[in-house]
This record gives sequence, C-alpha cells and structure tokens, in this order.
Amino acid sequence: MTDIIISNQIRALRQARGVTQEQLAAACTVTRQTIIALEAGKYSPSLELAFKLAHALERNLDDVFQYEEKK
Amino acid sequence: MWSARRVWAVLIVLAVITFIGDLFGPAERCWGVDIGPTAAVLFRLALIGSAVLVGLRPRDVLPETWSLAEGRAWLGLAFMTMILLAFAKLLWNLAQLPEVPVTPSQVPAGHFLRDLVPIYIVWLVTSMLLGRGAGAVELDERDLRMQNRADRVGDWALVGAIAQCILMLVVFPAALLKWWLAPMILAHALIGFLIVRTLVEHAALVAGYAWARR
Repeated sequence: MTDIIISNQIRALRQARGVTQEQLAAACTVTRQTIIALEAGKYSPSLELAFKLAHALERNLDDVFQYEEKK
Repeated sequence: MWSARRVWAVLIVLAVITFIGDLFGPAERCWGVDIGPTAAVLFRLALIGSAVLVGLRPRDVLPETWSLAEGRAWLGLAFMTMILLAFAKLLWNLAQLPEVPVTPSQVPAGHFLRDLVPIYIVWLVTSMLLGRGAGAVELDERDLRMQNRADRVGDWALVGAIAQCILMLVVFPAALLKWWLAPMILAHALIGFLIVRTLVEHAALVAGYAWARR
C-alpha cells in the first residue's frame, strides 16, 4: 500500500512575502481558518485552490506543494 | 471585569437551565414562584441577551479557530437540541392524553409553538449577526466539503430510522403499535424523524470540524 503525502510551503512563502493569513485568505477567497488548516497540513486543497494559492504567492505549483509517495 | 466570552457562557448556561425549567419544571409553585412561566421569561431573556452579545462582539465570543460555518454549525446543534427537547415534551404530552387526537386542533402544541417561535427567530438572527465578525468569505470549499459529509451522515441517520420503523412494523403485533399508527401520532413521529435527522447532521458537522483540527 502506498501512502500519498502532500506537504506545502505556504507558511514559509507567505511569511517571506510579508503577507498575513487574512490577506492570503482574501486573495484566494477562502476563510482564514482554511489557510490555518492548510499551513498545519490538515487540509488538502482542491486543484483550483492550489492554483489560486500559487498565483497569490507568485510561485509555481511545485514550489508551493510537494507530492511524496511512501511505501 | 468579565470577558465577553464569559458573559456569553453564563447566558448560555442560564438559557439551558431556564429552558429545562420551562419544559420539565413542576406544575405547582415553589416558594411562591410559578416555575414554568418564570423560567420561560428568563429563557427568552437569556436567549436574546446571548444573540445581542454575539451580534455586538462576534470575534470576542467565539473561538478564533472557528470559521463562520463552524460557529453556525454549533449554533444549529444547540438550537436543534432545544427544538428536539421541546418536541419530545410535546410527544410526552400527546401520550398523556386520554384519547388519541384526531384533528390538529386537538394536539396540545401551544407550549411547543411558544418555545419554537423565539428559538427559531433567535437562531436566524444570531446566525445572521455572526456573519458580521467574518471576513469577506462566509463559506469556502473546506466548509462545503464538511457540509457534504455531514449531509450524508444525516441521510444515513434518516435511512436508519426508517429501517428501524420498518422492522418494528414487521416484528411487533398490530395491537402494540395501535397508538403509534394513529394518523396524528404518526405525523408527529415523522416530524420527529426530520428533527433528529437535522440534529444528527449538525452534530456530524461539529464533530467533523473538531476531527479535522485534532
């Protein structure tokens, strides 16, 4: 059985840009609690939200999200 | 100086106690006080007070980690529990009648309706006022996912209740089910199913948010 792990760099990228969770949430039209859940790795976003986040952070999707398979 | 959250918690506790007093309080006077009507007035005041406080300071009252949808889910759970308790009391009153009611006017629903109307109005108003403390987005994809899951749990609860009914109709002798099968009683039982389904949905939603945060 292979476990798929999707991690992200949202917090680091957001802090590097000096953006608050509230501002990022507004830019992606989600609630701040969703940004909190994403940064804590407790929520996997839809493809649409993933692209919105990458766009808001001005990065490629691969820079924001990392895909890993664990056997 | 008490924080807004503590005042709100006191109002909620007061609302719960007075609601129970209103529903299940003794019919006779205690120390010269008529428990039922007094509890009913205090219950409405506590309910309105809590709604006003949420409306004025939503961010101070609810935990910061809660999204608006989660706050509304808790609100739904609390108010649906109250509605279910009031409805259970109505069913109990129906069971105490010497004869099964045949028309809606024979159902002693006055007390239930007097409870239901303020509960429903305060629920609506509080739910609307909560939105004042939220950001531009009131509901996002995470909330919708949670709601979809909770909706499915609610549907399964309803399916379970109906399956149980079918089993009862098949297993129990007709004489034992006579009271339940009277049209006016059956109608109320079906209303009860819908109330329970909505309550389960709200409970599943609240549990879903808590589980996601663990």
